[in-house]
Amino acid sequence: MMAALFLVWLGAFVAAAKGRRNLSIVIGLAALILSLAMFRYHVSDNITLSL
Amino acid sequence: MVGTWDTRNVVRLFNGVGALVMFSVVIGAYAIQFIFLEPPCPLCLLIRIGMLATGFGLVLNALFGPKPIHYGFALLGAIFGILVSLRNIALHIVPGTGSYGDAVFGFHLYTWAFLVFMAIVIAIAVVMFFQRQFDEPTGQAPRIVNLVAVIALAVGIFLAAANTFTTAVECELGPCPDNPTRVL
Repeated sequence: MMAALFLVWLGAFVAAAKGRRNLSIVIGLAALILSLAMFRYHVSDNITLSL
Repeated sequence: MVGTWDTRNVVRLFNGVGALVMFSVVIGAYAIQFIFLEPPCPLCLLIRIGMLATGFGLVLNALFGPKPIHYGFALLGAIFGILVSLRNIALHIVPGTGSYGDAVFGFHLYTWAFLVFMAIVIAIAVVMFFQRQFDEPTGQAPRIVNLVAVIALAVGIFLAAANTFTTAVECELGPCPDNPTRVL
């Protein structure tokens, strides 16, 4: 799952490289929201997790 | 034709260098991963994403010229990184709870990451004082400005692709292990 997240970020960078500024910002914002969701997934009350 | 060093172009260069600084931290993390054989934890990977996100906003400034939306993006990325690194610090803040990885110059990597994110937030706030960067017309930029922007973009693409590959190998299709043992 984390690799897919990096892939979305790669898409944002590639869109910027192609000069598609608005598209890159949209993809980047989507990636940021997904990153927050991933962060929430890895936050646990159990201190032995999420090292 | 030689470009002019107006506020806009100076700020573009600053943003390109700032993006390279953020990306160099991820390169450093890669060096520790492969030289010291220290696999990244899930929160460490999320900190890398924070670095990429902040660098992405700065790259947009360097490529397309400074705009508030680019700075906003960089700030959101930095705040995300601060959240993750603070969480990582908090996990080990109680004496006796150990730490993840070895210390570098006295601090663990997640502590360094927190300091870097705080520094970039302050730097962006200071650079945003210069209103003329948003008002000046788009003119011919010195060659070094465009060169640094393209290099920063290339490094960002390389790091996003490299992390996609190494994370896919480390974590496979499921969630990343809390205590990873595989470097690659």
